[in-house]
Parts: sequence; C-alpha cells; structure tokens
Amino acid sequence: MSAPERLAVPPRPRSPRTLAAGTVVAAVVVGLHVAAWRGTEMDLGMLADGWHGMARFVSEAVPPDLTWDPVVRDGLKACLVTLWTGLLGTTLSIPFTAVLCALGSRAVNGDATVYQAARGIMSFLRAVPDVVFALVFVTAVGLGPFAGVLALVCNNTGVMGKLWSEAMEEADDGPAQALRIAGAGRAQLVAHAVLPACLPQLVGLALYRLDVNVRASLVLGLVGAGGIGFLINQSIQEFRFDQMLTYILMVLVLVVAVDLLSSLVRRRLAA
Amino acid sequence: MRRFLHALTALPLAALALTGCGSSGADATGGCPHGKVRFGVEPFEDAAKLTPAYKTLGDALRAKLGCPVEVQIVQGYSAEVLAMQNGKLDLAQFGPLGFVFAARRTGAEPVVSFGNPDRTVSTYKAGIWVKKDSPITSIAGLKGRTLALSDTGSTSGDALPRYALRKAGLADSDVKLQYAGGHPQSLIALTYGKVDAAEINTQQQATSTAEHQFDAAKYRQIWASDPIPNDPITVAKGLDPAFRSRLVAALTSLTPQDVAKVGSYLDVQPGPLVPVTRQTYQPLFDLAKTLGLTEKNL
Repeated sequence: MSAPERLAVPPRPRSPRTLAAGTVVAAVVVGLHVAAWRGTEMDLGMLADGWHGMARFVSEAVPPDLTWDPVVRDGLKACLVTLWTGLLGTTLSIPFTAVLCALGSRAVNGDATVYQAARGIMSFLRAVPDVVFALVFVTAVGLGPFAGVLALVCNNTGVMGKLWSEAMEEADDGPAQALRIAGAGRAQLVAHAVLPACLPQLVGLALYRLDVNVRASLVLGLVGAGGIGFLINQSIQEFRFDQMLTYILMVLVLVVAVDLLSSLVRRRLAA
Repeated sequence: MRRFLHALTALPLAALALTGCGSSGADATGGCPHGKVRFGVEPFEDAAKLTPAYKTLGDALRAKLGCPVEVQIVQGYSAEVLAMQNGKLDLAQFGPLGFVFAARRTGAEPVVSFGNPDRTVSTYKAGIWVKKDSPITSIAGLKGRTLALSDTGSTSGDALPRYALRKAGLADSDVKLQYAGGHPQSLIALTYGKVDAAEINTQQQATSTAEHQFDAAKYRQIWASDPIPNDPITVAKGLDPAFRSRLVAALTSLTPQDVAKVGSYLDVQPGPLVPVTRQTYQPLFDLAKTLGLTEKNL
C-alpha cells in the first residue's frame, strides 16, 4: 500500500500590483537607509582605524575602581537615591493616575466632555519630558531629588494613565453588563466588575513603570536631582573612566534587581 | 537640562572622539591638513548664541589661512579632549581647567587667548554671592548651608569655589553642594531663593545684569577668586610645524571685530587674540593638583 499522495503547496498568487508595491516599499526603505548612513557620517574605515582610541578608553576603564571610600560608598548611596526617586515617582502617581484614568476610560465614565478633558490632561503630561518638569520644579523646591520625584510623578501620571485606561477598556465587558442589567450603579460596577477584571494588569503595568522610572531618575541626576547619574557624569568630567565603570556596573545591578523583582511579582499575580 | 539635551546631540561626536586615528596627516608645505581645519569649542554659553559668534571668527580665520574652518561646539570638555587625543581636532578652545586635562592627556599647546584692547590677556573671576540680608559674611559661614555650583569640572563654577572652601578649612561635606547644571542656573537658584549662596562668575554677572536678571545691589559677594586667564585656543600636538606657524600667525592677525562677538560672551572688551603659553595657566595646573583631579595611568 503506497503512501497517500500529497498535494503540492499551491503557488501564492502574485498580482503585478503587489509586486510593484513591494518593489516601491523596498526601494524607499533602502533609500532611507542610504540617506541615514550619509546623514550620520557613518564610516566603517574610520571605525576600523580608530580601534586603539577605543582600546585606550577601555583600558582606562578596566579594571573598575572598587575603592570603598569614597567610590563604592558614594555609589551605593547614590544608587539608593536613584531607587527612591524612581519608587516615589511611581507610587505617588498612583492616586492621580487612578482618578484620571477612571475619568478617561469609557468603561467607567460615560460623560464625553469629562472623558476628553481627562485624555487631554494625560496627553499633556506625556508630551512634556520629565527633564522639563524637573527644571520647573527646581524653581519651586530647589535642587535635589525632591524635584526629580515631582517631575517623575507628573510624567508617570500621563503615561500610566494612558496604559491603565486602555487596560480597563480592553477588559472583558461581560461581568459589567451582567451587573448593569441587575441594576448596579457606576461605583458598584467599578468595584465589582471592572477592577477585579483588570487589577493584575494594572499592577503589572505599575511595576513596568517602576522599572522605567528608576532608569529615568538616572537622567534626572544630570539636572541636579542627584543619584548615580550625577556620579557617572562627574567621573567622565574628571576622566576617571575606572570610576565610571564602577558606577555603570552598579546601575546594571540596580536595573536587573528591579526587573527581577517586578517580574517575580507579576508572575505571582498571574498565578 | 541644556547639558542633557546637548549630551544627546553630542553622542555622535563622543563616539567619533573614541575612534581616533592619532595622525594629523598634514603635508610638509604648511598646506591645509585633511583639506580643512577642525576647530572644537567647549561651550561657555548657550550653543545657540555661540554658533553665529564662532561662524564670524571661523570665516575670518578661513580668509587668512585659505583653508575651510569647521567649527564644532561640543557638549563638554571631556568629548573635546578625547577627540583631540585621537587626532580628530586640529584647533580647540578649552575652559582653563578643561585645558589642564587637554594638556595632560593630549599635549595640546595653548597659542592664543582673548586679549584686552591693550593686548594683555583678558581675565575673569569666580565669585560666591549671597542675598544682601543674609547672615553669611564669609566662606567659613557656609558651613551647613546650601551652595549652588554650576557643573562638575567647571573652573569658576566648581573647582575654584571648592578650592576656596579648602582654604577656609571646610571639607566638601561640610557644605551642601548642589550642582545646578550651569552658570545661569546657579545664578537663578540664588535669585529664586532656593539656596543660601551661589557661584556667580564675573562673566555671568555681566551677562545677567545686561539681561536685567541680576541686580548686584540686592546681593552681596562673600568671596572672589584671583583673576583667571580667559579660555586658551590650543593646537594639537602632532600638527605639522609649518602649518602650525601659519595658523598662529593667522589667529594673531584677526581683528578685534573678528573676535568681538565671541569675546562679548566672555565679557571681554573688543581686542585681538594675544599669544599665551602653558605658563599663563600654571595656577590651574596647581589647582587641579590640590583638588586631586588626577587621572589613572598618567
């Protein structure tokens, strides 16, 4: 008994129009890359010639300077400041985010005007970079991590508000409809249907934002907000690349630790 | 803030700086090396203001030399020093302390600086100011108080004020030092009342007074540094000697009008560029040594 014959895979229909469109797209992509290559003055020959410039830079950075006083000690202190800034920037924005995203989510709020206003505020908070907020707050509260925290709260309210309200809108509508038919009010709907359906997602998003905000507070360090970003900048200014490497390794450990912690919590929530 | 935005734009330059090839490739006739002169400038003012000012200077230099002059306003002296170290700059202006690093790391030679009308080297002073009604009357009175500095590695905005603290018997940790991110930001921190004291150098004082953002009558200066010679313009160590002589001759023959625009941001009366030597900046080498600003492997 012979094996059943297999049908050959039918050829994909290729209309001339598809081919033409594909060719045009490919040509545009290639053209853009050529323009970008020239625009950024890419030169592989220069890179190959310049290897010992980089080698010298690396040789100055390796081995990292692990002197306890002041390098490692100051680095650890600064890492904590960076972590606290990111943490408060995330948690303190939760109440504002909750209000804004409730108003900016159709699942919760039926009033179109309020909905659009809430969305507008969130868009504005997202559009202004956190470094600009930091500068604004520096004039109010002076230099230091406090200004950095306030800046992150503003920016994060906008970003997390958008993520949360979308998560709420994507949640399963079934339980909410069932409660509505049973005569439940809007507050009851939120408490018993919308929140339970998307709480794990909201927490997951908040943890993801914590991860991002810890890294954002690095950059804020350059605006006088302190933290490890400032020390990295300082070590570059003083040509202490070995200290710079120490601080970068500390940042790496910090970011990985925050990442591991948040993924652990998210896994527990999903379970 | 501005620093950060500049940092973003300067990343390509920093990357370029790291990929140097170390040779200046000049021909032996004093002609233009690699067909152009690459001139780096450490920003002491907003790059938006410096770009047109240096265009005037660069155009005048091109006319004298017969070589195209490519001016690059860099983000900070560290990228500029690395670019020079790797043979990517022929000519570079540094802040006085930035020059110390450039000289140590790359052998950059100072050739001219901004002169007064009487052909002496122009100078400026670092200063620390408090509000007029402040109880602080001297450096010693800063103990436990907040002091705004500009940014790390700045001559008048970081190194000299910290040196003044040392001389008054205070450690950095005795004072709450806050880096504002630049000279204008440091001044604003004081005028907004966010710090007890702030570094304001004579250049920033002149600029802010002209812009009606600072009225010296409402503040009190509690410390001033010795005069600091203004920024040197340096040449790369490996430059062809014949071309180097032509370049120095061209720089010193620029008219006060050619350099007036750049000089105005340094609070200098229009004068020519005047010759300087490493000796002119000796006090800053001593300062770097005192503050322990020494790199590894040097």
